[in-house]
Amino acid sequence: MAPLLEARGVVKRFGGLFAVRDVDLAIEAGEIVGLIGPNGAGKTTLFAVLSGFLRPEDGEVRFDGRSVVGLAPEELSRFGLCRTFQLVKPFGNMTVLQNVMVGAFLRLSSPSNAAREAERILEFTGMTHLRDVLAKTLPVELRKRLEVARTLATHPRLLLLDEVMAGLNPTEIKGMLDLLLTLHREGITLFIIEHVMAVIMSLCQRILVLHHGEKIAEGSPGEIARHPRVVQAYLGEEYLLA
Amino acid sequence: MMAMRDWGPRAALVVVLALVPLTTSNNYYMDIIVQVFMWGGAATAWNIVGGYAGQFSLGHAAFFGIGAYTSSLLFIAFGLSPWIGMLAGGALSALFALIIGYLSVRLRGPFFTLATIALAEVLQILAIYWRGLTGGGSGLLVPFTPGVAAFMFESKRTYAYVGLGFLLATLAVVHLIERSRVGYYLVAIREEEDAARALGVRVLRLKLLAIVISAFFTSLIGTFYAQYTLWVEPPYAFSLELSIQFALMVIIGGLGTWVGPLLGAALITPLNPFQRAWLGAAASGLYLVFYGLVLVLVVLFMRQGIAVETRLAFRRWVTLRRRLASG
Amino acid sequence: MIYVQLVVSGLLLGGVYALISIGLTLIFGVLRVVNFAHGEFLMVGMFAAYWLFQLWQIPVYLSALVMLPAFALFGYLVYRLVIRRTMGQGDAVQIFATVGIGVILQNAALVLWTGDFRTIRSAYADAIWRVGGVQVSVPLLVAFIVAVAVTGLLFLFLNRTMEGKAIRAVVQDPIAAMAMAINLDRIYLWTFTIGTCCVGLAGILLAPNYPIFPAIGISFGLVSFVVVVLGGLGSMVGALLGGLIIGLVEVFSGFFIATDLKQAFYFLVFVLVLVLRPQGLFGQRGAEMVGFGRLV
Repeated sequence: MAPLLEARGVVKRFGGLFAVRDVDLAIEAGEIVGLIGPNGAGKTTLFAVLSGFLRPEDGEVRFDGRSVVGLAPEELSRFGLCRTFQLVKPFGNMTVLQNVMVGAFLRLSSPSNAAREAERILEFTGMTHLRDVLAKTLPVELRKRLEVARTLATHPRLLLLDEVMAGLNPTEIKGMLDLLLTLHREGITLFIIEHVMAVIMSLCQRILVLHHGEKIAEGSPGEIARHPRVVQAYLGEEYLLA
Repeated sequence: MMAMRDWGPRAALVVVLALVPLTTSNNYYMDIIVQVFMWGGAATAWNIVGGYAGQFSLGHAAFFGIGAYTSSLLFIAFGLSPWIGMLAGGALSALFALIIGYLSVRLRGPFFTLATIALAEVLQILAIYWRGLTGGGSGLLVPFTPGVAAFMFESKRTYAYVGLGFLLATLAVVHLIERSRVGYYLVAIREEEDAARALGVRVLRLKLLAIVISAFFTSLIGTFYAQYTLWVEPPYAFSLELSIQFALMVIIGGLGTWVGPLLGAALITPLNPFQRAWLGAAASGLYLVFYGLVLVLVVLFMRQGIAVETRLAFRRWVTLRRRLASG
Repeated sequence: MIYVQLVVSGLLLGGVYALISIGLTLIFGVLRVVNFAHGEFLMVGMFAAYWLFQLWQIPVYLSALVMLPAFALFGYLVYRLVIRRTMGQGDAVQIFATVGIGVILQNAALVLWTGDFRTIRSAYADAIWRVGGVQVSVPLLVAFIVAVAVTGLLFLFLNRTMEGKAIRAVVQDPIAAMAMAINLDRIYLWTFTIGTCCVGLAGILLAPNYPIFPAIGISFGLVSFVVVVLGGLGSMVGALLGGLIIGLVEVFSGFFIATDLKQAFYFLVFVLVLVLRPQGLFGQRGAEMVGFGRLV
């Protein structure tokens, strides 16, 4: 069966600088795959290319067998490819419920149906008590949870999660981890950028490592932790390895 | 800001508005009422693009002018009822909005604003240049032949009710938008455009839709203006000053709120000495200095507009009193 | 022969436009603020030159020196009182605060000095050189030379001095600049003040050549936006070249098509640039602000 997401030879350049250089990847439906690398490795840029926010200079991207290079994010979300942002972007002046409704409106056109679906999602993600709270008053952890809930309302098949654990304390991380596992159980494929190594190592079945825009390693968490090039790339950075 | 329970207060407001023209027979005050309704309607139309979608157009005078001129020219040249001319103007404005929109909708923030200014300026320049058609710098006079079909009335009160009709129409449209998918999408675009795109919102299309709807209604009110003042001139009807006026009213009253634009219009219009032409340019200049000052102050210190800020201030005062009373 | 005259006139006019636009592009490049009152700042400069001449017979070039500190103070006040409060507050605030300032300035001028067209009647204002059959307006030539000189000076300033380099650092990466103990607020203040002085200076130099009235700010203001976008936001060289190009476009379209429509032409150029090549000739940074969307 064709991979859910497939990329070959993706190149993204800004002027003379290569942010992403000749990256190949394949993600099968049902996997949880991690993307790691030192700061500036090009991870978010890769996500931006895969989700349609940036157009690559070269390379091919296929979602569910269909070529999607050059398609806008709003079209990709219709196919089931959705992303979250490193810097959370809640719709500040809307309530939590209304935020999720915006996501629900992708598949439903009537406001009452969208509201009902949004309520369901809030319950699923444990935020029903926050339904009428204005998003801009939420603390970081809840904003992140809201962002995940919002994308969930679009019924995605593949979720690109960009540092969804950043800024969370250990309890909050555990909460988010549980949420992600629940999503995975529901059949959603996850592709995750993360710096919190403990999370990546325990959550992901497979990990890709990016450095200076190039893929330098790919494998199981165990293999990656021992991989010489990976260890070398992280020397000089303060990271907790496993 | 988008509560579904607003039926009651809104219906009450509509009733109050319907009674307002009955409160006076004085022509001077009636004129103010007509203007408040007229500018309130135009401001409400602008709010669709500026307040809900968060795209600050300063070129809306283009649509206003198209509306005013189309109906007037068709009436003068062919005797066509301005009611029909109004719809023709609306269609033309919608078309122009599609063009302006298509060119500028990819632009963000101040660049969108600049593009709208530039495009409206082009229209103003053309309007003055084609003086055979538009009367050039001195404008066009619409001959006063009262009658329903001619969209001209003897009584100012009738004008007030017609103007109210237009205002209510735009308010109704905004009300419908607010509670529909389009409304949610527009606010999402305003709040975080990229996040909206990631959730499947077709941003460009929606911005375009907002501009076209807004342009259509602005144009209708342009026709009303022409039929009321019976005089249209490019230096005013297509002017940047007019475009700024629409924005100013909405900002003062409350961007993205249903009642904000009308409130802003009600606060600004009665102070306008343009009516008192005999005071001369100096007076109108002074009024506009005040206007500009209010704009800067509101935007820096009362960001959500007077409607929301007073409600918030009132709530704070109530909480404070309660706290003091319970000691 | 007529072509040579048109080119010369176009370049001289272009020099003027460049001078007006340099301040705008600098302010945008560093503060990321689009100053909608830019044209009105120019108008104030023009009136300053007019009144100094009218009341005390101060020649234009002396006015420039006298007014420089006044413009710096003006820039300082506008920055401290208004601009600083608009930064990071979103589009509505930034756009309408500066629009408001423009409205205040234009109408204050209207109240104080009426809408009458005023001109500086001096021998210098009407001076024309005749070089080989081509007419060159002396004041415009001077403005052109000053434009080039100012661009050069700013270029040196930005590349050779500590302050200038600090400014460039802020343009590249405000957060990194802060980490290096560069005081952002001071940089913004300096930049805004320098930019204001530039446009004030432009006003004084142009005063001999144009009728002076409150609404003149609007048309010059709009042209400067066209020039800045064409040249590339934040680029000094871009402002210079953009100005020259627009000057030529205006003169040629005015001659070959219709004088009344020449403004319409450069507005169309403006929209085309925004749509087809938002980063203009030399800008890179501008593009993502103008419309290519943010990355993260």
